[in-house]
Amino acid sequence: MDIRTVESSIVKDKYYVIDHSSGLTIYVYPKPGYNSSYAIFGTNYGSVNTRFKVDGGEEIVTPDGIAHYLEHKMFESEDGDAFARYAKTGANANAYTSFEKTCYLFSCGDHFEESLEILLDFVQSPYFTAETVAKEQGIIGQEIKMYDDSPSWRVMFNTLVGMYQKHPVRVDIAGTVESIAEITAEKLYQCYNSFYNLHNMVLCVAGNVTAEQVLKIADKLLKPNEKHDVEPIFEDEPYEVGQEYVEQTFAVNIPMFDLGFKEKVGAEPITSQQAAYNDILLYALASPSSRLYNDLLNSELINDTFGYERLEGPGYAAILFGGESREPKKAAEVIKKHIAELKQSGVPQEEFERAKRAVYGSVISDFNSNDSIANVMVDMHFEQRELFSYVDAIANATLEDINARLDEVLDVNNCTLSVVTAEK
Amino acid sequence: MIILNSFKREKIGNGIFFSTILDNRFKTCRITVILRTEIDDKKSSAYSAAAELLTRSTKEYPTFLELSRRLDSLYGTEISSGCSKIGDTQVLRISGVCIDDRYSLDGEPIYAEMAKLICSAIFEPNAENGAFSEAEFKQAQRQLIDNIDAQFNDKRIYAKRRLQELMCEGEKYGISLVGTKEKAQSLTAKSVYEAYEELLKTAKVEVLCLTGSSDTESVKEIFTREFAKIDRAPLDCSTDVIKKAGKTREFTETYDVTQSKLLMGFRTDCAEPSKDVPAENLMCAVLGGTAHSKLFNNVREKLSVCYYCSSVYDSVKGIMQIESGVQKENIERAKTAILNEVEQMKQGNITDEEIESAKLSITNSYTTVTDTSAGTLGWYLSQIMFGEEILTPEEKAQKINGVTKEMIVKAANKLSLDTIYLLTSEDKEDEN
Repeated sequence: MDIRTVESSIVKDKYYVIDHSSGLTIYVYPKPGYNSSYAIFGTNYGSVNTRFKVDGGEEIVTPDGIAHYLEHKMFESEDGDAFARYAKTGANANAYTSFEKTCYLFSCGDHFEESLEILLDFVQSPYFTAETVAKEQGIIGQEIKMYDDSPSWRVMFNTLVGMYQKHPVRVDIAGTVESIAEITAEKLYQCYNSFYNLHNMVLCVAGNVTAEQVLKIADKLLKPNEKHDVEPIFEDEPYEVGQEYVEQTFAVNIPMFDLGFKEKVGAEPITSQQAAYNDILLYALASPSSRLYNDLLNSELINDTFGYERLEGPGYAAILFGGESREPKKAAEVIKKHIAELKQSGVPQEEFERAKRAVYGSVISDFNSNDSIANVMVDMHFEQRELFSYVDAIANATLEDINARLDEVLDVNNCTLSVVTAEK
Repeated sequence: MIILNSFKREKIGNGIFFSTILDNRFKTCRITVILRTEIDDKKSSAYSAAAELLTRSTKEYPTFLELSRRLDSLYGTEISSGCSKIGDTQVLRISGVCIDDRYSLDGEPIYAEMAKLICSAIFEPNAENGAFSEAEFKQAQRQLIDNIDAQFNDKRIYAKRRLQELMCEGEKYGISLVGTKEKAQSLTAKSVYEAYEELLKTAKVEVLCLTGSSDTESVKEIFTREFAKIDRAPLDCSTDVIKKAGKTREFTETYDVTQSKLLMGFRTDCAEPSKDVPAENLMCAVLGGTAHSKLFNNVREKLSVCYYCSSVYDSVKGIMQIESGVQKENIERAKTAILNEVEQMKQGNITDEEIESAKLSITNSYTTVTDTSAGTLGWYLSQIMFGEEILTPEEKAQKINGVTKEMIVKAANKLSLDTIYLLTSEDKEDEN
C-alpha cells in the first residue's frame, strides 16, 4: 500500500494520501490540538448521472432524483438504521447529494473509531425492499415541496434551466414527485452496484486523527471491489444558453435574481491553476471592494446579499452573480457592462494585487476547520486537483495569468437572467 | 507548543469587561465587541441601523469602497456588525476576523491593524455635527428596509419570527429588532447617531480577543482609554420570564406556499441561571433536538408526515419552540402526533437509550464547538452572557451527564403550550 505525504510551506500543514488495496483513495489531514474529527465518504455519482453504461454494456436510463433517493435509503440496513447506530457514539451524522457527487459524513468528539466503522459499514451495505422504498416517497415528496417554496433555490435553479438545453444539471437534484414514483428496489441496486464501487469513491478525514488510526479501520472494513468501467452518457449540449430570461412569481416582498454565464466545457475539469485564477478574477470583478459592486450599490440596484459562485461538474460549468434587487434587469445590464469593459481593459494591476491578497487570506482561513478541509479534499479528488497546489497557484498568480483567464470565461453574449418576483 | 483555551476576563471600566482567549491552534484571530441593552421599541430600529453603519465606513475610510479596499490589503480581513436578540436584550456586535500574523506574506502586522480598524469603527465613526454621513446613512436605511422585506422571502424563518412575535406580544422579546418599514423610514442620520451615542453610554460592554500570539495588551489599552472618555452610566438588562402559559392561542396565516409550517411555543418555567437548565436542555434534546429524538424518529421517520420536525430550547427566555414542515392535509395528524410525543415525555415513557444518545449528542457538540476560532470565541461569549459562572465545555458536559430521568420528566411536566402558529395555503389552491 502506498502512503504519500503532501506538505505545504505556505499553509504550514501536511496531509497523507493512501491508495488502499481495496481500491479506495483515503486522505488524512491531522489537526494537532483539535478535540474533534470529521470524516466524509463520497462517491463520484450525483443527480446528473441518470444515463450510463457499465463495462461497455447496454445504456441504462434511470429516473430523475434516484441518486438522492439512494442516499436516503442507504441509512437503512437489515438490522436497523445508521442514525440509531450513531446514537451510541454521539457523532453528528449527515449526508447530501449534489449534481455530481453523493457524500456521507459525521463529526465527533469521542468515539471516532467506532463512528468511522459505522460510516464505512453502512455505506457498503445496501438494503432495499419494496416496502422500505415505498416508505421514503412521503418524506422525499415533502423535501421536494420544501425546495419548491424556497425562492433562493428556485432562482438559482431557473438559471440552470435557462442556460442548459439538454444537460441534466437542469433537472432538480431530488427529481419530481412523479419521477421518484418510478424508483424501485431493483433500480436502486443497479445504481448502487454501478457507482458505489470503492474505485469510484473517496474517504477524507480531518482533525484529531492519525493515518494509522484510519488505516486500521479501513483494513478491517473495506471490502475489495473489482474495478468497473462506468461511462456516464450526456446528450450533446450546445454552447449557447437556451433562454436569456426566466421569471417565476412567488410570495416574496423583494425580488431576487441570478445572472449565469455559461462556459465552454473541456473533456477534463479545470486545473488547480485555472481554479485559483478564477477565484482571484471573480474577487477583483465582483467583491465588495470592486468597482462593479460599488457601482451597483450606489445605484441602489443591489444590497449586501449580492454575491457570486462558480459551478462545475461533468459537462457543465458556469459563473453566477446574484442576490436581492428591486431592479434585477438593470442590475444585470450593469454587470454585463462592467464585464465587457474589463475584457477590453484587462484587470488593473492594483486591483489584482488586492484581490490576490484577499483570496490568499480567505483560503488560509479555510484550513481552520475540519469540515471545510475534508469537504474541499473530496471536491479536489473528484475534480483531479490537489489542495496545496491550488494554494501555491494563488500565492504565485500573476496579472497575466488572471487576464488570460478572463479571456476564457464570462461571455456577455451567452448568459441567462433568472428572476423571482412578487405576483403582480 | 500548543496553547489552547486559556481564558482571562477583567474589568476595564464602568460596566466594561475585556477578555483574552489565547489559542494558537488556529490560522485566524478574532476580536468581538458587544454592546448589550434592554430591548426598547423606540430605539431598537435605530440600533439596528447603527449596526449597519458602523462597519460600512469610518472617519478614516469614509466610503464603503475605501474601507473594503483597506480590508483587502489586510489579507481579506473581515469586519462586520449586526444586532441579535438574547432574551429581552438587544446585542449589538462588532467583530473582526483576520489571518494570524505568521501568514503575512510581507511581515505586515495584521492583528494590530484589524484592532485599530475595529476601534475606529466604534469610536471614530463616519459622522460629523452629531449625525452619521448622510450618503452612508441612506445606503444603510435602504438595506435595512430590504432586510425587513427579505424576512418574508424565506417562509421557514418568517414562520419562526411570527411565532415569537405572537407568543411574546407585549413582552420585550416579542419586539422585532429591525422593526417595521415605517419605523425604518422615520429614522434619520441624526436620530441614529444620537441613539448610538446613548448606547455607548448605557450599554454593558464586553470585548473579547482571540489570538495565538499577538499582543492584546495594546488592544486593551485602546479600549480602556477610549471608553474612559465617555460619561458612562450603564443600565441593567434583565429578561422577564413568564412561567406558565394561559389558555393556548392559535393563529393561522395563509400565503401561496406549497408546504405548510406548523409551529408551537411552550413556556418551560425554567431559565438561566436556574440549576434546572441542563435538565431542560436534555429534555428538549430527547424530545426533538437530535436525529435520534422522539420527534425525528416517530413523527418524521415512522409517520412520514413532516420533512422536518424539531424542538429548540431558549434557556435565556425560558421558552421551547417546536417547528415542522408539513403537507397541508397532514396538519391535524402532525399536531396530534407532536403533542402525543410531548405527553409521552410527561408520562416518563423515555428509554435509557434515548437519554444516553441525547447526552452523547450534546456533549459531542460541546467537544466539537471549540475546534474553530469562531466557536471558541462564541463559547466564552455565551458563557459570559447566559450564566452566572464561566464554564469550560468539559464542565458543562459534566452537568449534562449528571441529569437523571426523573429530572427530565420533571422538566417535561413544567411545559405549558402557549401558542400554535400555522402558515398554510388558502383552501381553493389545495391541489394535493
